[in-house]
Amino acid sequence: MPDVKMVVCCKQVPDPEAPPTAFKIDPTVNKVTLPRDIKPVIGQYDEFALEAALRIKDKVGGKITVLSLGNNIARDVIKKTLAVGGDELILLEDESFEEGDSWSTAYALAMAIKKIGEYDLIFCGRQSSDWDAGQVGLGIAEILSIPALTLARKVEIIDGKAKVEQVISDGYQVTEIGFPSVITVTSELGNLRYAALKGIMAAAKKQPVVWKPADIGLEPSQVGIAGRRVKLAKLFQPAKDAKCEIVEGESPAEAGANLAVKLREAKII
Amino acid sequence: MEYPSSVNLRDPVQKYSKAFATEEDLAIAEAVHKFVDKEIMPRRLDLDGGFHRDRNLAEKTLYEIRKKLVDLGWQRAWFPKEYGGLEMDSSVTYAIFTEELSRGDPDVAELFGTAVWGLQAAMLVNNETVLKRFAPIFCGNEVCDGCFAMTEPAGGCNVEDVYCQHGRTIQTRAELKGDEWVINGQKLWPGPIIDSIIYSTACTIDPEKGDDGIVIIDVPKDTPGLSFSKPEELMGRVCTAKNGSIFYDNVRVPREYCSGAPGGQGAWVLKQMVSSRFDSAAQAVGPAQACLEIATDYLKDRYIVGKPVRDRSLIAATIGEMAMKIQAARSYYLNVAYMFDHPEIYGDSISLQQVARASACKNFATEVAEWICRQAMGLMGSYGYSTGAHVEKYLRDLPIIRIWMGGVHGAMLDVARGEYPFESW
Repeated sequence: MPDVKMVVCCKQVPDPEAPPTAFKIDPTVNKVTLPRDIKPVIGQYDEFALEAALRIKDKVGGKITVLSLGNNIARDVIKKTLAVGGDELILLEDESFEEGDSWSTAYALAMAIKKIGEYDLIFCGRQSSDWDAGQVGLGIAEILSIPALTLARKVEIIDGKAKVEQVISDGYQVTEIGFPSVITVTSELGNLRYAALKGIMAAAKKQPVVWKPADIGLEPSQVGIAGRRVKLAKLFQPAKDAKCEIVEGESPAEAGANLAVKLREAKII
Repeated sequence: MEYPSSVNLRDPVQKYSKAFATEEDLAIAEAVHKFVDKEIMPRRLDLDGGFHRDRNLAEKTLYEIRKKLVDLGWQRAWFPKEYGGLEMDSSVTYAIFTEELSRGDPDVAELFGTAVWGLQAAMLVNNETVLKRFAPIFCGNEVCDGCFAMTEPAGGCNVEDVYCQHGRTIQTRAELKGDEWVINGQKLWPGPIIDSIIYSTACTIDPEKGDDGIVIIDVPKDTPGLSFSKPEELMGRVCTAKNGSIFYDNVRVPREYCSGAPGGQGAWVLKQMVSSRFDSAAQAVGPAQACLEIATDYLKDRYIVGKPVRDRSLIAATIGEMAMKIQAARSYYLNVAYMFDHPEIYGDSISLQQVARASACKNFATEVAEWICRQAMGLMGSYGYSTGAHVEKYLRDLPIIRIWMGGVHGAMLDVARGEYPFESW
């Protein structure tokens, strides 16, 4: 089937490879604060999703629309999606999109996809690389009333359907899904390709389309923090309290026996 | 979650001035930066053959890295579109590409430069005969080498000192016999020898004619009479650089393989010199930046009396000085590359002033780059001296940049010529 119309949702996140100590939590306002030298990147799972779409485009042809939601989205970061082979970039970019939850994000993305109109496959990462909720992809499917498959490690188009290998706990299963549908992609699919020079040159000449809430038929009160359905009650760094007890004995064998008793008492063994 | 604007000067998007670099240049910098981090940094010691100095490992590693870059379009980037190239022509872009790639390994960057050099003269005059035959090879999917042969055993800098010597010291002779050029002579130090697709050779038809005698003739590999020495054993780039001697013994090539009539080709040599000098500066800044990053990271986790070493003010001041010199060298070569690209504002790209600027930025960048590498080694102590810290390879790979293209002193004379008429050594 030629020319599959695909939408790939990509989120800008703080670089997950930054050292954990770089991330600070301010529990008074329930926010994560970042040092100024942590650069945003495209979420890694979203990169896998984009790679899945690119492989389909390579094989059977198609159009890839990349969709991202946020505020102050770094152009040099998000335009990488065009450099690797995305055809169009739409940004849902506005202050009011900030601090949304999985619901308000999925809702805004679904409304944007409705506005895009024609779509066969919607690709998302299995979860974001910052909050790791893993709900947006399925949320989009629910709101658009279309089926979804999760944890794809391979996606092929055969006879007008997507043949998907889904990762399961002890291997993978092969599933077929018709169009339109949502597929969430996992790391086993493989890394996003490098941008070829020709793609970089072409991407530099393209500009993203920017949509505000009104452009997708939403009020600011329906998106971002105002549209949240989950209330963040408390954000904090768990205090780790490690106690070390030396289990002794007259001989190594006795120390071992004493250890076993203690473990039994603690119901560990 | 908030995304504050980054101030990390390692970020390729932050470190190049937008006064010179376009959005496309910054995207290229970012792409090459990431490629280097993932594909070169983990393997860069293998480019020296690894612990056992295994040449097969070095060649395999070099080929695999270059093949990936070829597949991404970098080898064809600077060739004309009609032959499959992407026709990039910005010196700023090329210099930024060079710095980023050189941060991983300067010789990997160098080999992309020499590939273009092999056909530079043909491209300058649109020599269709040569380009039709050879440009598509460089624009294909295979890794290709090209070579520009200039220096000679008798006084290398003399040949490169076009302004002063006017080609009168070139001893490689070309003679037009019928429809063929017949070449006899020897070149010393060009590279890569042996495997290049083409050897663009600076010759003279008559040394007495000076500039009017200089001709650049493209000699395909496998041409009868063309032979090579073994590659020289070098201090750095020990497995990747293949520089040596090329011997021309009644080498015959078609008349059309000379790009243009004698008379203007000294200017082309000079143009090569100017662009390669500021590119050399970019090639030196890459390793300097790498050494700064290596030392700064190492000193974060290295403690002296309960405090990270880099948090000691003496050390911080040294790191600051290293960074300052890198920023100055980078700004310098970007500035010169931009001027080279805008002769309508800054004058002919081979004017005395442009030669002086390019020479000054090469000498400055190469000098500070070596200083920065030595500082990194000093700050890191014995670990900095060990192979595993990477700094020693950068330090071995750098000096040749300072030496090539007319050498340190030759380049400095060209700097002086930008200030007053200085005619002879």
